[in-house]
Amino acid sequence: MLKVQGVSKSFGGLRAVDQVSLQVEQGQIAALIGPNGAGKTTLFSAIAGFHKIDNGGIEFEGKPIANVAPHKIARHGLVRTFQITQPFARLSVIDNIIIGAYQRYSDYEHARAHAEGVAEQLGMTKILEQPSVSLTVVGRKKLELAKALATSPKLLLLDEVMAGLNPSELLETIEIIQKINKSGVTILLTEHVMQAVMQLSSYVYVLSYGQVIAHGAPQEIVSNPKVVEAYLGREIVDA
Amino acid sequence: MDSAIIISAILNGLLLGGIYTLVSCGLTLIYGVLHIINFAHGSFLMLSMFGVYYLLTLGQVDPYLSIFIMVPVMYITGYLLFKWLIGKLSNGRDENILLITLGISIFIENLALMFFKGDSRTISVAYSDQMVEVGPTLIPLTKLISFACAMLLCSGLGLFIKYTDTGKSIRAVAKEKMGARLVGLDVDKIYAVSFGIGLATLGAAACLLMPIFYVSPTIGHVFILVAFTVVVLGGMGSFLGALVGGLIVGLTESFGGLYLGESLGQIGISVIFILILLLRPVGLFGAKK
Amino acid sequence: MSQSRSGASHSVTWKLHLAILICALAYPFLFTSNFAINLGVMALFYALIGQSWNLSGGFAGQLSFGHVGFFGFGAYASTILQLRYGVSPWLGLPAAALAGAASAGFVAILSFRAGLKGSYFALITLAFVEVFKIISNSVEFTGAGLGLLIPKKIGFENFQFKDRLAFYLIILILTALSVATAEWLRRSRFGARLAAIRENEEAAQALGIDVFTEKVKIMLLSGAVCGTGGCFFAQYFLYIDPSIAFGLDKSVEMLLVSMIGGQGTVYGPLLGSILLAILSEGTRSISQVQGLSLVLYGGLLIVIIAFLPHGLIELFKKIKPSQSRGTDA
Repeated sequence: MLKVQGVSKSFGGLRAVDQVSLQVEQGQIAALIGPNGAGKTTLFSAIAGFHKIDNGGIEFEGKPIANVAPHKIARHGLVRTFQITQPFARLSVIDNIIIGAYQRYSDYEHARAHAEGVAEQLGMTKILEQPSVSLTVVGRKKLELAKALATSPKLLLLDEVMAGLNPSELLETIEIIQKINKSGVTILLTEHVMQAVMQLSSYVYVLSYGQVIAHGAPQEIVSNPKVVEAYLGREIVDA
Repeated sequence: MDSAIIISAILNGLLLGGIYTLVSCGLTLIYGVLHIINFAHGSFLMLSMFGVYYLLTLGQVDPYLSIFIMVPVMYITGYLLFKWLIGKLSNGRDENILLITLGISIFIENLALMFFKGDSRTISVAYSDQMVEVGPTLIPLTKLISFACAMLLCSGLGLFIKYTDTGKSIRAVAKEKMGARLVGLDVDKIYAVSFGIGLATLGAAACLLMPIFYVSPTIGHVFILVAFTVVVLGGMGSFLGALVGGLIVGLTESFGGLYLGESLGQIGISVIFILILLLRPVGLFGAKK
Repeated sequence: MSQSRSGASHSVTWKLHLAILICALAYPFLFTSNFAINLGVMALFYALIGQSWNLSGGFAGQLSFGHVGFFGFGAYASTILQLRYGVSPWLGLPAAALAGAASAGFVAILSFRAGLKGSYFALITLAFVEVFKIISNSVEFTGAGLGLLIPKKIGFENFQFKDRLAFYLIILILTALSVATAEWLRRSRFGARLAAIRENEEAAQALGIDVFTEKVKIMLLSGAVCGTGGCFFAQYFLYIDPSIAFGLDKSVEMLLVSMIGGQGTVYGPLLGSILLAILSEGTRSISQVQGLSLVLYGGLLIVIIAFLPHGLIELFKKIKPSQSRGTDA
């Protein structure tokens, strides 16, 4: 469904993403992992249209989307969430979600109904009228997810959704993501929380210094020495 | 066109530009350090000019000498205004600050309108009509003195910022607020100092402008656009930019008036402003954020 | 301002609209002096152009300092069509709307294409207005510095009336239409998208919103409304010149009434405008000096931004908690 081929992106002299290729099949949950600064969020932003790429190509459902405006990509059904949550501050929770729903529905009643449905899926029904700025961390993460989900996406790019969650919130979120996937949404996520990666994804790409250094099923990846090295640093492995 | 006219236009443009530079120094400092677009800059200039006017008409103080009064007065005004008012309201989006400074400018201008009425005033001193021969043309002495003082003050300010401890603190805060706080700098005080200096430059500029210009309560509008153009052209926060920008704007106004006439000539400044914002918003010497 | 509204409060909102409309209609019949009606006309006029500013500045968050430009284009458009081409001033209303929209579109497309937002956008609108002012001051087409004088010819077909009451009713209709537009905007998908853009452009894009196009659209609408104000003004005063058409004062007043009354709300500009009218009259009786009311208004702007950023209309919401869940008055 999503094909990234040889994509590179530099900022000034720094190569943030270096000849990255990856693929996500429809219905899959794929993960992109790697140490901090590996270029995961840059890659996400590029896929979603927020960065122009220097070379390579990106295809979504067979259509080329590299360097296409972000809103057009979102309208094709490829929707991202932000690592640092970006709520519409002065709107209530439900109004935030309705903005997402408006992508599919043009009138308020239908958009609201759909938004309420999404909120219920995520267990947010009690906080609908709250101002979005008053939410807790997990509330904000859920809202970020709800907004994206309300657009009826085909593929979701989830950027470190699990960061900052406690164990029970983590389990809840993992369940939610599985439900979303079962309902037909393909997912590509980046994560640091390995538990989530192992439980959710069926395929993993590992990014280090902007390059894909390994990819495969989660079990293979975890025991791959190159991956361990990337996370822990060369000296420790050599020692 | 006659070369004497061209030279005259160049000289006039430079002389005027020098003053624009001085007016804009304060604005670029305030923006560079506090990241505030001070919409009240023009109004404060207007107030200072009235100050100079009354110092002369009521106190018989020569406008150039009143620099020694106006600069400290405006510094203190700026310092306190920031400390008691603007500093308190500094949180939130930068559009809010712009609006607050807009509110201040409305407040000040209309207060001036109430007390000084709408008429323009000029001053004349003993040497107002004296001309100096420069090359093929005659330049009013007052314009020359104003230009020279403006250049001196600008350089002085630049040196102050570069070499003194206070100046270094200001630069530190401008560059990295958090870091500055961590090394023990009193950021709020430095903000107030910077705002004070910004207004102090207006006090000086007023002294230099009164002999060659006029004052009325609405004159702030005239200068605010010029000052913004200079600052945007030169680059927000850059003194070199204010210098170069000021001279360019002065020359543009001068040649604009020459080729397009009095009325249409003014358009050059606004056009520069628009073009810079559309094509190169960081200006000539501004830092890319 | 929150977009949310609960179904039950819809009927209450209609009652409010009706009540305000009835008060506005009753006003000139209760206060029949020329002076009072003129006051009413000006209050409604500023509510109208204030509302135009509010559409783009309040609802969409695009702060503009040069909105007067669209007013000026509208005023000149209808006046020039009338004086030079013999077009009926009634047709001048839609012409003014078009001129206002066109000028707004021009500024918007250039500025938004270049990615200008926030304070930079506000400043560039100022510069555009300066350019408009200087050009209109210099060309014969607009009467240059002398401006344009519309010859006095009382008659319905000339959009000139002996009785100020007629002007009052016309401006009331125009203002009511602008309020209706704001109300429509508040409930529509377009308005919701503008609110999203106002709060967070990137997040809006990520949800499929074409930020550039929506911003241009609201500026077009805002410019159109502002332009009609220009036509009305020209017909009411029978005179227009560059300093009136493109002078900073109207820009400031448009912004003031909206911000103080309540930006992004339907009745904010009207509230702000009425308050300004009361203040001007109140201060005039205290002192003959020009400017006192604006001094107070400037101070009020600062107070509002610091302490009551949603405008005075917030106070009304606090009084009526049962309606407060999201109903934007």
